Amino acid sequence: MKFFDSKSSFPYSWEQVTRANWNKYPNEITTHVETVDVLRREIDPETHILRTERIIGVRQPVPLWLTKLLRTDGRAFCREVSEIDLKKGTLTMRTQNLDHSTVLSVMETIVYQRDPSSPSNNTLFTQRASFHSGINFKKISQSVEDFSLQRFIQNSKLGRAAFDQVLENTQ
Amino acid sequence: MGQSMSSIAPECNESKKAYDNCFSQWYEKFLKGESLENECKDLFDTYKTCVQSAMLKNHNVHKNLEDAREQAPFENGGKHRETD
Repeated sequence: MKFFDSKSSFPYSWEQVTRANWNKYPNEITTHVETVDVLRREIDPETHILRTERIIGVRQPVPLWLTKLLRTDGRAFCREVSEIDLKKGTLTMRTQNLDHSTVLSVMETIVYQRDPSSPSNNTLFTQRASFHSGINFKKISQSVEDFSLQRFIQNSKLGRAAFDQVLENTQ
Repeated sequence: MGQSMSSIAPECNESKKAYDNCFSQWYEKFLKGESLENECKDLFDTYKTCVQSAMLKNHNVHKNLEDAREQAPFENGGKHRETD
């Protein structure tokens, strides 16, 4: 099991960030994200939290040794459940891979939070991800987890660059 | 918002676009605390029906999705039963 943690901020209000989050795709940078579909969306009658379930289709080349383990052609799907809490000023997104999850399970939690010290022009960002391979050979499972972690870091950088651009365009 | 994102099923692109546009407008009201009603219900129903029937044809995706829902229920914000 491996972990990835990251913290940063966006120089925009939380409202702007959550709005841009719905309009993040398509963009010129994260071209590996091919499809996004909303499967379910509800407003909690008590808490007024807006909850959304989406399925995200991605396509990225995978090295040959991993192609065999994952039995993939590079196309994969993720499920994301997000919660927008207007009162708390938080957007929480939990994402996991849907394919080959016994060989490799990736779970990510992202929180965008209104910055209490400058709510009109700053939003705090935290990201946490875990990578777990259920393969019984330690050497192989570690290689799978390592590859996945590195790929995740690359994709996170792309995602950040893309989101910065989307935010700039919505100004 | 420029280009629109593709759906998992090309035949749902149009109904997705119509729904996404409606949602974007509604979301502005939601942010201001002006609406807690799902004002895009009809458009969503059309879009959802399209995606659901496309997904039923793809048994793997459908099964994996059902498993994920079981492990990390929607009502629970997608939190995993075991881990967090």
